[in-house]
Amino acid sequence: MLYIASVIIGFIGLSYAAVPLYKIICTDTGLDGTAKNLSGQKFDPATMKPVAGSKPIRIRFQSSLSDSMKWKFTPQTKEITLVPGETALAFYTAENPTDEDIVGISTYSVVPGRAAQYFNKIQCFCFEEQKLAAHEEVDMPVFFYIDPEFAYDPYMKDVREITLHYTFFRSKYQ
Amino acid sequence: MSMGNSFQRTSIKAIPPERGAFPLDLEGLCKEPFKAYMECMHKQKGGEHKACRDLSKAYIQCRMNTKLMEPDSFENIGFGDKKSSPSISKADAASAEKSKPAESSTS
Repeated sequence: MLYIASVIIGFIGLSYAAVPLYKIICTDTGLDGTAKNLSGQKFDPATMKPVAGSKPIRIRFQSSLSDSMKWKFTPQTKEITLVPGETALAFYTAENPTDEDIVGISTYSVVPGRAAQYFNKIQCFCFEEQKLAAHEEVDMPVFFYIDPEFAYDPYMKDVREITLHYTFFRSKYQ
Repeated sequence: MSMGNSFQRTSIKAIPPERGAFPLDLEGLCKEPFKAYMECMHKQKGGEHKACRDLSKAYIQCRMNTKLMEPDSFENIGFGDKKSSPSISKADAASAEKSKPAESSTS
């Protein structure tokens, strides 16, 4: 009786352990297309080296504004062609043509969605409120690279173009 | 979030930037490097940015000088493998230096 009980408990325990075990095995071996953790850390400086022999990707930059946002907001660098692992600098320009100070906050989206996990922004102007005084204009840089894991992911084989789209919203009223 | 990810293809979570947000250059302290870089980029066809890499490095250097960016070594932000002249890369120079002591040790 005890033997049967211990076998049952053992199997229940195995089924709980299977999920993290599978995760460890799949991410280490890249089985079935799971993204591998080659060097472990996402922003490891060792990953910021161009992957030799990988196909170039075109990164497009787009911008939009919410209806109530009175800024002008355009990308300066409309497109950049690079390979995974290569860092690059892109710029947007924002201008406040009105007579009042406006605080904005931006969000971004990456298309195609499945490539978003590989779009590593080292530094940008998103997620934080930015204030432009009346008639002020400013350049906003985005310093980024495509994670070298992108080159090893079979699901990314057909992705030749990635679009980064920033949208500025009006933040709180002062 | 971590358990089910191995069976999902897309991860919808937004990844924040590694070093946070760039402070705004409202005084235009780095306007000149920015203009130089943009002029170079506009001349390039199809978004080729390799020729303008030194200018982007100059812009980042300006940001570090004016405290608009945390100072860091260029190796940590992906500029480590390039010298200002594109003819010899650091990697080639390092491998050339490596082979020399190996020859002297065997003799």
